Amino acid sequence: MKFSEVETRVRRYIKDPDAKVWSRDLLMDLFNQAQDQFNKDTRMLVKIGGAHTPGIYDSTTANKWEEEYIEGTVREFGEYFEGTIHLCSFKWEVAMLRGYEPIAGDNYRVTHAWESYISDITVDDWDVLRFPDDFDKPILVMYNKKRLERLSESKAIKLDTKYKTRKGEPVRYIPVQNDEERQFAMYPRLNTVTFTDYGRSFPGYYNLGPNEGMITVVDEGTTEEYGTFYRWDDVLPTMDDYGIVVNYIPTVSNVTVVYAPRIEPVFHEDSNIANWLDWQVKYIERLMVSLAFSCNNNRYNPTLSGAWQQRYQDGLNVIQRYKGKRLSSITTRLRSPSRTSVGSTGCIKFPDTYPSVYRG
Amino acid sequence: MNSIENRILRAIGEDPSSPDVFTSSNLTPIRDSVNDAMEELCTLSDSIVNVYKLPLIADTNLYKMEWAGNQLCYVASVLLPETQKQLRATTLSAVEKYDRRWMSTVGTPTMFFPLGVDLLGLYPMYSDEGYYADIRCVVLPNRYETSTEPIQIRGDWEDAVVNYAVAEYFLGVGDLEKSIRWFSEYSKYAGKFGFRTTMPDRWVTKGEI
Repeated sequence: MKFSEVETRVRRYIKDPDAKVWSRDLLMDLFNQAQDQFNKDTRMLVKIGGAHTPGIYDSTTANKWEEEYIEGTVREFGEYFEGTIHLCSFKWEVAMLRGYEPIAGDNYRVTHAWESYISDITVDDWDVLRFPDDFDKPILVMYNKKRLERLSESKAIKLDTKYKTRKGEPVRYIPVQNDEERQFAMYPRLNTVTFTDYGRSFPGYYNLGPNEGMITVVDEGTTEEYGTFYRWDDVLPTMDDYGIVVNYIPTVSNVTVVYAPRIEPVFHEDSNIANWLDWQVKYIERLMVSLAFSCNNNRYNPTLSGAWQQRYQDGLNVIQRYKGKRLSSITTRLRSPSRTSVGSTGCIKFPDTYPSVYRG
Repeated sequence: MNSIENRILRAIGEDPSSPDVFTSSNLTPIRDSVNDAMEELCTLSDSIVNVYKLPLIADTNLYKMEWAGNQLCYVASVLLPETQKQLRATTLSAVEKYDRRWMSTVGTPTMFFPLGVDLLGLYPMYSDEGYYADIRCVVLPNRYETSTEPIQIRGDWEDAVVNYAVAEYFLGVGDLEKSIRWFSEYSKYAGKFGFRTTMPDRWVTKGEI
């Protein structure tokens, strides 16, 4: 479904088919706001993505604000230190510039993430990977098909002072602070890495062309080294690829993320509304109409806005029923059979064999 | 123009034989409301169930289903024709706690878990090709666009569909009193499936409508 279809329907409800009162841009803003709110109210979207390990990036930037002007995957090149006005790719460069003996390497290299695993430079920083662009909250993070537990950086410092450079089999992931948790590093970092070019078959946020860099192409459709099969794109089934079109998220020696996504905002009338099933969009439209009647123009109408808000609430009730029914068939639950109950008085329940009156 | 549309037009004061506004080429608003009502009723009542034949891929846990025909609502049950057994429904967190290496464990699937709106997980997974699963899904009917397309709705729910569409029409023209009246009629039907409306019985007007 495209935004233009939603706009047509909503304009019918607000009786403004020729955009005399509400402009398209305004309705687009309202739609984005409404679908964000709907997502928060329902919390039913889940996505799966993969992070190539080590990270592969098309470009590097000096400052974070540059990212939005660059297409492809981006890594911030080093850190900018405002106190001393330095931009450094490695922290030891500060010492070098200030007259201290450098630890290793020279000062003229930009090192890609994977290079740190095969060169002889002393690694003094972690290999930062990115969550998918539409990442909001993690549900499950796995490396090589095994779960990684979350570890905050503050706890990592207490746990291990060499938490950035310690090598081994990863068991935790550490979200990078001050970055809206969009980046993370594995702890400990990998001993060695293998390089596989998944090329166009690596979906989501690494969209490399064939034979780029030091990578080799694996044909789409190869399943031998993949553990996960996943229909990713919007292509209708064909007789190729087992009767349905598939994309793969490589899970061997890579990070797999199951996550709650952020909603992709709509920027154009032809933008696809890909996050939602078609039947769910009508509830977003109701909230959109409610917001439209709240706008400060000559059609401001709090009564109608309230009525459409109620319709939206009705829609949420339907979604609640829908979510409840999806779970109603679940027969395998992890629940303790003998759940310890604490009464309203807060007394501890003793075992049945315990004497009713204790005499010391 | 089908019988439901005729009833709606009569209820909103149009003459179906010679309508002023909703002519046969201008029925999209009414049809949208009818489609919305059918989707909502089917979501609440699970009235349409289809089977999705999913070819299983070796070493594969997670599948995303896209329906070319009806719209997917949710997965009700999964049958493996090879073993003639229903898979037990569970959640990702339960599988993950049950087996930390669930993404590597191979064998005949015994459980399934829905994920998000259209993802399905199987545990464990086949290590070979050549199997498929019967996935019984509650689905929503296709949205009809012409008067000759079949409408997938139980006959005795036509009243509910009419009530919904008429209420939405009056809400669209700003007549809240009539809209609430018709929505309350719709809620009587939808309420049988657990739907509770938050619309009040009467609306106190705060401003000019």
